[in-house]
Amino acid sequence: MVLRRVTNDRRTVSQGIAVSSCLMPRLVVLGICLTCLFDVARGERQPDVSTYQKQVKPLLQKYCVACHGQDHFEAKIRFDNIDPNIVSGKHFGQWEDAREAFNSGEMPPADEPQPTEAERTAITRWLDGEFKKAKQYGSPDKRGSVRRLTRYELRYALEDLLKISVIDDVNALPEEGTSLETGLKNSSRLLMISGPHLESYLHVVLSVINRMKRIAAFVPHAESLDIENLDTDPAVTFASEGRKSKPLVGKVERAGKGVFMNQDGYIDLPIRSISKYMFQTFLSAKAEANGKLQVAIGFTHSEVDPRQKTADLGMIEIAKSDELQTYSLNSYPEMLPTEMTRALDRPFFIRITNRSSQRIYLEAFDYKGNVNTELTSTLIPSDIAESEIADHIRNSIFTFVEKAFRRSPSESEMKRYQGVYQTYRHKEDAIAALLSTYKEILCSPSFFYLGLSGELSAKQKQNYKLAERLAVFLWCSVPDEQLLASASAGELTIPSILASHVQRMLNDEKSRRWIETFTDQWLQTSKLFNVAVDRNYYPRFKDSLKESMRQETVESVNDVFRNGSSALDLLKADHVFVNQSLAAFYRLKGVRGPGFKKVPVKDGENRGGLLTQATFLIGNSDGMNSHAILRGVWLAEVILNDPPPEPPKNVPPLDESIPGFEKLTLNEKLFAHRNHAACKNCHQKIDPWGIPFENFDASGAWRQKVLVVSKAADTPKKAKKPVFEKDYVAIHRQATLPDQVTIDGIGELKDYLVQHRKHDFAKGLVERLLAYALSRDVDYHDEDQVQQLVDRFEANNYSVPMIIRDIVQSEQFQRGY
Amino acid sequence: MAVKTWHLKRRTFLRGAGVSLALPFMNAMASGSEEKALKSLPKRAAFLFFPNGVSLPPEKDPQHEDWFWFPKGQGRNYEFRTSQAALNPYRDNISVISGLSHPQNRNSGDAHVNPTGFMTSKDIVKGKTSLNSISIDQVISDFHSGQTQLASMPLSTVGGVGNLSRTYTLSFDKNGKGIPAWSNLKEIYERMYVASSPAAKARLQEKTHLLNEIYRDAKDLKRNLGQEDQATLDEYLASIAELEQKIANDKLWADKGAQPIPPEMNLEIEFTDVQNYIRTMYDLMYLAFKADITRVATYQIASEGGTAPTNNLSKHIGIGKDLHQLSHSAAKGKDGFKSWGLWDQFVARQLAYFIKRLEDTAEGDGSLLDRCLVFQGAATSKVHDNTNFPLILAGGKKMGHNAGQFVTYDEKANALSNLFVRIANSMDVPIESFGDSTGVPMNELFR
Repeated sequence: MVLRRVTNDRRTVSQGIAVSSCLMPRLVVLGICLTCLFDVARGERQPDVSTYQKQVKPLLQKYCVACHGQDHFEAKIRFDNIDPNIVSGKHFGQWEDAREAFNSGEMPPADEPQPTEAERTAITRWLDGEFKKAKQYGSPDKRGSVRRLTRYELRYALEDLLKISVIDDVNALPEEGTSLETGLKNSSRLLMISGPHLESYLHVVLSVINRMKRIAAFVPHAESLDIENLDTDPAVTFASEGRKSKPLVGKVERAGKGVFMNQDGYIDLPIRSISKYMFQTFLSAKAEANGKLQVAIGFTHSEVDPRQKTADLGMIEIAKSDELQTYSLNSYPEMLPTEMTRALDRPFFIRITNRSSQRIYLEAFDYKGNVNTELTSTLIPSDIAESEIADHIRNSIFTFVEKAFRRSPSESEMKRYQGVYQTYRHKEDAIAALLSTYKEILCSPSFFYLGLSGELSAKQKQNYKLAERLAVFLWCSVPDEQLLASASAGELTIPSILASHVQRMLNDEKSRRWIETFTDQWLQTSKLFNVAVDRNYYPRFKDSLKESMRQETVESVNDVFRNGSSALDLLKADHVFVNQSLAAFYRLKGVRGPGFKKVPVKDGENRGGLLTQATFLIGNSDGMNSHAILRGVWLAEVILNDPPPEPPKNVPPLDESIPGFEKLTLNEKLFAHRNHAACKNCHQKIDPWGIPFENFDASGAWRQKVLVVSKAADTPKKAKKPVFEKDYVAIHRQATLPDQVTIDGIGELKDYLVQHRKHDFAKGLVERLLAYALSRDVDYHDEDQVQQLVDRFEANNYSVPMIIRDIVQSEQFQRGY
Repeated sequence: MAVKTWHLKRRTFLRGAGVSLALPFMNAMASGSEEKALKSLPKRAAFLFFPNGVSLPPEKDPQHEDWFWFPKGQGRNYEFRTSQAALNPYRDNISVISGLSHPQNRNSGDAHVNPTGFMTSKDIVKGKTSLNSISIDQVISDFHSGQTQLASMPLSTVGGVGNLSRTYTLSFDKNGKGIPAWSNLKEIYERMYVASSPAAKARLQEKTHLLNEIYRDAKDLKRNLGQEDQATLDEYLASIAELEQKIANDKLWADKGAQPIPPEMNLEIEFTDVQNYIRTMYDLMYLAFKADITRVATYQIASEGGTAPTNNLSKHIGIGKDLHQLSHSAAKGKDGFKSWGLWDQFVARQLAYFIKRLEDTAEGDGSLLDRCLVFQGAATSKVHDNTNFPLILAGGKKMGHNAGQFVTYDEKANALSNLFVRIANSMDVPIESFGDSTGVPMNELFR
């Protein structure tokens, strides 16, 4: 669980901890000497219920039960019937919360009677003793190491195994639940299965394999343009009528066996239909200086309807050359808009257009559709000798099972799957039978569930399961050949080899999958897509920006997680990751192109780090107004690792009777609203975190004034509709944080976080990473491990690649739960 | 274009539909007792959902007259406004209901989460709730299971389950897990006529084979595991058993012989061809009810909020804004409510089509509609307001539905779950409570 830290009174907390840890050994020693000399071990493990009954319970009765008893049980804690056995009893979590609140001085509340110093010590001493026992001897939550793959892991694993996109297929599967503690989606406890779910999964496998069989059966078809006889001055046809000029005239000129294409000149090659799989365009061309040809695919609506629709496929750079060069471009139907793939019976063509001022000489223009060799050659290469097929099949099955099951196949498994192949081979060709065999392998629980080890020996098991955990952690998928080779050689347990694999895996592009999923889960980026930004308020905003905004967040996490920049860059940075459109939205100059670049920013530009990314500024607003409370909750939860308690139910509506209500900003309305005594306590710990963000509006843009839209006070009587008026009011961005530091605006907030709260941030990040690596919530029993990791993280300059290496070496990761 | 081929095919399809018969009824008629025959007729229920609520311009707004979703008048004297006018011919078969919602389901913090609890009444709190509870259609379907080839038909335009804060299915099983909804028309058709084609029989055979294999594997693997991991595999084994049961049921129906004849129809329709897609969904439900392939169906026409692929349905039918924008911007601009109302009108026209199909088909002493309850609603009245759901209950006259009125409930004293209890009762399911129901009998709607 997230170890909550109450924020006001930080000093008491740390002192409290320091004192108790000094006292502990002596107290325990004393206890042992005086009480049970003969039963040391057992006595130390037993919960000390008698001290509870004699000393602690009466104090709880006196100070706590009025609010935490039968009638109220605030915060869901009841002391009248709580199980005093902390070590192995059923109320560990409640005791944990209670102890935190008590140690921090939060409880009993300041306006209630307080225990004397002696009473306080009695309670603390008993609690600390019991907690120490619980840590050492209490059983951690019952944990298993077997879990099923998540939906996104299934996707990537299938794609790595079958080398075909399956994103549309797996979307039919249920999405996993989210852990309430960590926001992560790979928590073993939540990964369940039901009959319909299993059926959906079988459907996914069957449909993907069937699709592959269909593709494998395609016969590639080729077209080529007869350039020698190309008519460069065609008569005006119905289809070209109405255009400004005949397209080819003057732009394409005959030149011996070929043609010259001048700027904007284009040539169409008619093709029969849209390819169902990869298709290729081949050109034979030369130019006196570098030029470029755009390749597009298109169709004419019909012989009598001249409208044309084209879709860009890509650009071919023609290099300066005296000799003819061959160029090719591979394309896939997935790249095309649906209106194109669904228009089955149109006259299609491939079009090349000269997009440079350099004239280009062209002598051949060919097309090949349904090019499935890429797929078939990974299954059974066409050039393989008949005598080698049996061996090839055997090896293919072996490698496939080894990858899919993340372990070497047993003899009986090999026998079984070779038998499966033979059975299918009677009915199908070799490629189809091999695919059918893969289908059975993928349906097996050995693929679907992680943590199973079949008949492996202990050493093999440790190695292969490490490979499996690593691959699932950093690639969201199955291991590759190199990992499996190390596992098979029994080397993965050697720390240096393990570390080199971690580095290799982080360098591999496949680890971007982990960056994306972890970023989304950790930082709650999906909120961005759930908020509709109101364009009446924010005309500069476009929905298409949202994808770039998320990308900015992913890139900045990627830079820290894979490139090894300090994790503190996420709090405050002198650079941003933007492309042209996002830079324009942020009013940053000089960024060109759709690709993301690391761009330096100055202090006055107010960007850099997660806090000022539009992803969170929009995601934690309501689309019209900025929302200090949502932003404050997000900061407390994600950055400070200190989630505020749930809001009470039945929150009363906004009080519109406040004078001048209409003219208030949303934040002012909310603050007026939470002046109820019941709300105030909590909100004092939330709102100050959100107020310094006020310079950012609900679209994530910088502002100097807050726009307030309200109904006009003097609406003319004839007006049929209410008249609204816009007003700009000053920004209030000054806040007093729970530890009484006053902050003015976002710059100071970032500085404060980096100076005073980096430890909380670091701890939160390490806990989330560990939780993700272990597929479970981190709890009290992991506290020492977390502490060690955080220490190392801080000592290593907040390097995530290094902390990943430490996590992978940790006892928890090594044992698998 | 798809439209043309669809229309061409429809003619053959209609002919095909005439051929399939409700066999038990015919058998009973043959044996001579009309009363017995009528009793043997199945009862069905369909639950339909559309997202984001409906256009509700305030009374002083000039758009109110035409584009306010709820009808004019009260009780038996009610009249649909422009947006729902397509339903006028079926007024006598319809109850319009206002003032009902799920009281527990108002703390979500984000009203777009509400559809998840629409059929369950469970208190769904975004980010906090990890499981739903059983939906009313599944209560009914569990009770009738084994009597039809498909226990229920969970349909949706997006398909799958989505997630708890943006559901793509209306149906949740007894453990509160979402039941993956079917969206592919061909696949639905194949499921309905599962046993009819040799290919389908082969698929059943293949699934049985695969299940046998994985059952054996799971048993083997379970042996060497610790207690916790064994529990994980037990859950897996249970899901295999559940699926085997379903396949056994499919096979049983395959072997029964008297199969409904699958009509010829065009199933190559994407949901971007909105009207044809939705109508084909209704056709499939109609066929399933008529041939007693299932007794219960749910259909989520589109899913809630701005992120689902169905958010653009309105754009595909020529309204300038997507569904989420329609709901959010209704109060702004001159024609906001009208634009939204045009979507409401579209939804109503599709419902009218479905009702017409059911009413036009004779069965027993009346029409198919008489023994088919069609419940349609949204989980907010207008955007982000999770009270006063816009609800329609159609058909089911011979199931006790007291149709032909506009009933307004007091929001504070009533809960939608009370109506769910009565719908289940009308399907012969003897429950007394469901979800957060309070026992209010709703006798004005059910005899």
